[in-house]
Amino acid sequence: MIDDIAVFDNVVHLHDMSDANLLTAAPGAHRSRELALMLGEALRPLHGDQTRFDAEISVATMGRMVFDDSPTDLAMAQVVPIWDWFADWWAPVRLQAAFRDAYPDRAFFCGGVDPSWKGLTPALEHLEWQVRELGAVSMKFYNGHTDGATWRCDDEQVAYPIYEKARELGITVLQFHKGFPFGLTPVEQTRPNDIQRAARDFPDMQFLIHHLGIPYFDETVNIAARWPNVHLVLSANLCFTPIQPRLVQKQLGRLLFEVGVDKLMWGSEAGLAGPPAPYLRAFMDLQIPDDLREGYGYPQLTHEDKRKILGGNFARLMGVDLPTAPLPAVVHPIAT
Amino acid sequence: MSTPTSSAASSAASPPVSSAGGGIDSLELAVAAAGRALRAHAGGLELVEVIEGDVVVRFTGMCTGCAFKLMTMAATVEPLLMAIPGVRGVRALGGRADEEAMRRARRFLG
Repeated sequence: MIDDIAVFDNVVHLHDMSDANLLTAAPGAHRSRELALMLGEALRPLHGDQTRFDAEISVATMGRMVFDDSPTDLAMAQVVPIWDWFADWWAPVRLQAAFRDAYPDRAFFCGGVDPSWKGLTPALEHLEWQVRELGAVSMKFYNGHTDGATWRCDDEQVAYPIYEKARELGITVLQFHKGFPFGLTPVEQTRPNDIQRAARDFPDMQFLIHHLGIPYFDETVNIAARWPNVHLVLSANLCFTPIQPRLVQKQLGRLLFEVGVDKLMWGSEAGLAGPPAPYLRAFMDLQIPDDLREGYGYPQLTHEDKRKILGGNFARLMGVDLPTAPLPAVVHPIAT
Repeated sequence: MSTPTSSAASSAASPPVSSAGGGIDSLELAVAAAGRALRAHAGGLELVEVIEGDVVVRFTGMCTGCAFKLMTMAATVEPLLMAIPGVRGVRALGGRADEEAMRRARRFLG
């Protein structure tokens, strides 16, 4: 907990950017990894953690980052099915599931599949296996790729069977990386506009857009304001708070004004972003300044808003009870 | 966007809206009237709940994602609903505006 607020981190990734996992022959592989590593290094002075990022993030390292070094109560480890440059994907299934296994009272496993990896049928089989055998409680999608492999989230032939399979398995929270193009992915492949028709056609499912779709912020705000089942995860966005508070204040002010606080969620992006503690502290200290309130009509960011953003909203979507008192220290797995 | 609870025009002496006094019927009629007005913009309005005179509504249709909801609230919805005896405040689900911005909007539009 931070102050009296329970923290449910929507997204951490146990990534594997080791040489062994890099598809060195794939066009752009080295450059894409380099870009991701540069992002991690840029944030390092903020948290000071010395974890090597050009490696596999171990279960114990992630446990230390979020549960020991940060006031995180619950965290969801999300698969990143970026297969373009990484053999076992950027954040492998096995690592995310292992994190949940290591901290069963504190961690959740979000699976991930991609129909452009080996085709739709394998993706459906993979999804079912992740839910039935590994206990995935949500699914994450990265539909933007290079060289014609991008698929649309509103494709009735490719995407809808995946949503139907998820629904059949009891998964109702679907998550989408939008904006923030990974590596050399063309930015337009990450545009969030294809969420709209899917949200319309699956009104019983919840669609979570990550990263505020930046640089497509305007579209993302409009989509989340209009569709009752579209929500926004401020994954990595709030990590800018200590560095560029004005940027975050403008974004948050507009989100509170147009979208509403009930649809906003915290996501840390640990481990590449390091331990979440400094971002959480900066967010707790954040306010919407008077000139933005006077000039744009943005409301003040209240303590209750922070409670909803840091955990309340995501817990509600997932049907999870948040702790009401600080949790005991976790016991870490023994490294093997 | 929606608004914080409006209480500027309410009377502290007014009783809460209650079905016993026929207030709910009047309120529903007022919400329907506002909704008809918003249909000109392909939008609408629904009554969600009333708690001790505080009315909660939901914008529908094109109004849900409209950046001008603040003005619609101040110019159309609030005046219609606050005229119902017993209504102490009005707010919409979703986003909200700074209270000073709402006061400005009421001053110019309400």
